[in-house]
Amino acid sequence: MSEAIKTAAPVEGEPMPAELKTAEIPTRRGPAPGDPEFLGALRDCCRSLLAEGHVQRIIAYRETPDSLRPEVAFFASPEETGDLVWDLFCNTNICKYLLDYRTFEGRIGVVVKGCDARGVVQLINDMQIPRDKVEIIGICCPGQIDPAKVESAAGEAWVSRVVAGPDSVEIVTEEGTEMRVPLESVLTDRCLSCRKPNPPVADVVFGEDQKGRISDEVFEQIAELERMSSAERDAFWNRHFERCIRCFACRNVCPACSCTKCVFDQQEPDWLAGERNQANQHFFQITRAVHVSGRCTGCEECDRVCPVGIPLRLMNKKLWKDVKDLFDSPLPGTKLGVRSPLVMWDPKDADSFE
Amino acid sequence: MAEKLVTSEGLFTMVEKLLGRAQVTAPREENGIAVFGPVNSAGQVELDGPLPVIPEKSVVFPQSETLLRMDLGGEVPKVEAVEPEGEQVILGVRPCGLQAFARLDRVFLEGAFVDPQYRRRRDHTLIIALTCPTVKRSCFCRAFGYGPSDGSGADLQLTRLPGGSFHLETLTERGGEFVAEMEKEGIAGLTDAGAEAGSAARAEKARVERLAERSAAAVSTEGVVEGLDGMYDDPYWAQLAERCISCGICTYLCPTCHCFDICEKARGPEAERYRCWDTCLFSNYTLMAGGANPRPTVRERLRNRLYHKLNFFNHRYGEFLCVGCGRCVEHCPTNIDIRKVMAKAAARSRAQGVSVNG
Amino acid sequence: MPVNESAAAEAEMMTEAEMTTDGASGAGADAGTGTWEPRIVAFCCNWCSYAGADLAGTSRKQYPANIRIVRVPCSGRINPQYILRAFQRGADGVMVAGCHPGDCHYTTGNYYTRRRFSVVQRFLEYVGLHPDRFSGHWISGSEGEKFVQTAREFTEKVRSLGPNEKMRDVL
Repeated sequence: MSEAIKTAAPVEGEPMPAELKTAEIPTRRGPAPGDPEFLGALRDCCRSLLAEGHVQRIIAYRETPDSLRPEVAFFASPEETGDLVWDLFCNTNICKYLLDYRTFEGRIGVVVKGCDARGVVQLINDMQIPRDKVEIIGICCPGQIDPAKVESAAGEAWVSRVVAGPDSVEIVTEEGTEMRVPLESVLTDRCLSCRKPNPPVADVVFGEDQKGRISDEVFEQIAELERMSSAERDAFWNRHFERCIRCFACRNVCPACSCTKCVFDQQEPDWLAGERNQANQHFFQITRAVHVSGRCTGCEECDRVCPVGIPLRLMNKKLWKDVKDLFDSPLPGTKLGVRSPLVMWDPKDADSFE
Repeated sequence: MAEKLVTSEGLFTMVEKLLGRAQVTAPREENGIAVFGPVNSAGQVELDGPLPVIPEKSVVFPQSETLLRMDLGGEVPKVEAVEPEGEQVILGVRPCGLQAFARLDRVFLEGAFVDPQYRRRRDHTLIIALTCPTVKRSCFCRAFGYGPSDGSGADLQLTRLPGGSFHLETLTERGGEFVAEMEKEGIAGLTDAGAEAGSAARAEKARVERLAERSAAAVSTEGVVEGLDGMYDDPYWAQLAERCISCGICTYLCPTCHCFDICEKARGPEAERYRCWDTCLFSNYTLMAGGANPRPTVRERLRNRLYHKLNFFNHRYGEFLCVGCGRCVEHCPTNIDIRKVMAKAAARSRAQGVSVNG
Repeated sequence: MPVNESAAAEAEMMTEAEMTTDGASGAGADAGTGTWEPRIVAFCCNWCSYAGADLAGTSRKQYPANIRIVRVPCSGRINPQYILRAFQRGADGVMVAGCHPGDCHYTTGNYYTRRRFSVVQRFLEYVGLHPDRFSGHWISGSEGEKFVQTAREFTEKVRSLGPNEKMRDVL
């Protein structure tokens, strides 16, 4: 039971399944990203997990010729781990792939950043996958780099590789020219305001705890929106919703979206028709945001993948802010065994009904 | 044909003039993202930005459009076809967008059935192309036999010159009429291009073509169709599908993807039939009444998309449906790269010893 | 009868499929008069708020005919999507009503409603819906008068806002 809801009456229904009660396993530590030993140690760790049969699959990243875009990879044998990679371009949140392994017989290792790890914990808390089926290989994340920002910094030249330092990055082009830019100028937007870069739950952790970047920018933007008039907010969101092409990438990457049949895919009744009009755009955006409220881990993967730049974070974080203010619960995915505040209640809850 | 020189202020005035008489679609910036979309003022047009995320196809093949309006209230149901109205101008189309229009034309206009909506829109759209100001790493137009300065298919072509002005080239009669009309309006800053501007434009085109040369070495279409012919049941598709999240980014951002769904909606006695974009990456795309789905998993769906781009279309029309714009490469959330699929297919065809030349 | 007939007709339990077809767009209060009347959908729980509305009717108390009631088994059954759908199909205001906290026929259903709609209400406001277009109420089976009052006040508020355009999808 959540500590945060101490006053809550017992929740009706079945007791919490045993796997949710699993105590946090003491973690082993490895070298930090940036340490010359890091990649070797990470590969060794993954190799031995597979070789010793602790896991039957590892979900991580693999090098590609385009060094700014490593690909998600699924390693089934120790021999394959030679090209496993983890660098500052591993933007993709891989926790969602665990859903493909719901019926998989073995255990699965996942190489996760702080944000991805919250997704894993949330999937465990949502009873999508048992804790003991997942080996969490966590990395204290120094922040990820946005390939588009690097490319625009390099201008017309093609980027060959990027060498990251603690405060700045060196961009080396195909022609061999080098330039140095501040790290903050190429970090992804979500990393610029990341408060929780460390995996909250892990079996192995690489690196020491990172401070993260304390920025209130998102909450300031939300407060600004809240101060606007209804009509101004309407105009603001209309402009953004209008651009939505309904590719559903935001839903498909989301660790809180784990329904086997999504409401947007339902045909009887067809909650979301294909027609692109203001009504349907609103229905999609509002429903998606409300469905994940109370379970959104704030990883902002949806915001990252949105091809048309809809500020989804401004909706998710607003919902989170309200849920936190109203029901005082921890950020989803930061603690095992916590249920969504929206599937619980307390007789003393704030009342907006008249 | 005729060559003109127009200052950026002159172009601004031309767009302002156009706004009164046609729906103008151009690249503009929205929340830091470049998109093709309707503009209401010339100030919104952003020609120096990157390749817009939303492709040009949305102008002639909108994401959703009404086809019929029905009134079923009376004794005899009234059904009325809805025709697209007005004139359109699309400004800043990149060469890959032009190539995409050519592919879409074959689908919608060739053969026994000519799509009336598409025909109407296409006929009433003036296309003003733009020589790509730069070439990204994700661009691979050269693999498909054209380059970033290729204006074929456009009515007019703009090339940004180093000084900031534009070189405006007339490519069709309709483009010529447009320029004549603008000259009659007396646009300040629109003049005949001298030899100097002409050679500056040629130099700029040569420059971007050289930039594109870099991708030509990395990506090739040689052996792709033949390689894929023998790869349909390859385990490769399952591997690729493992990391595909089955979203619609690659198809909706693709300038040539053209699948649609036709639906109806009824509100009381009134009803509408409309069509809207659909994508083969969604499971509902092939879902049949009764629940059967011939493409049950991501493997079949992703394979279908890639085959359509690189093989099926080729067998039917003799050209690729991919034009190498690179949008799917750049925006795929899990970095699935169609160029790697091409390389894989080419390697397979070499391994099989299939003769590429027939 | 003081109770609006179309409201009574719509008060039958509806299936989810029925709710999503054409519920709110039928001709109602504004038919024939030419003047605009707000359309309001009220989701009422079967045990308290619907009984409250019923009591208003049997006590011959009049409430505005703008209110069309959709009876649901419990306020906890009200999916936020229903609210959006009502707005899509022409509602100018939406009301959610259930048993007072502690009085739920199913013991705890309305506690979930309270949490859910505290969040949804703030969010609808945040995305630009006028705050007066959506409201939640606790109305018991004996509060016929409260139902009437609530219906009147809400109707007047919505009337003063004029027709709702946000999310609207009507031909």
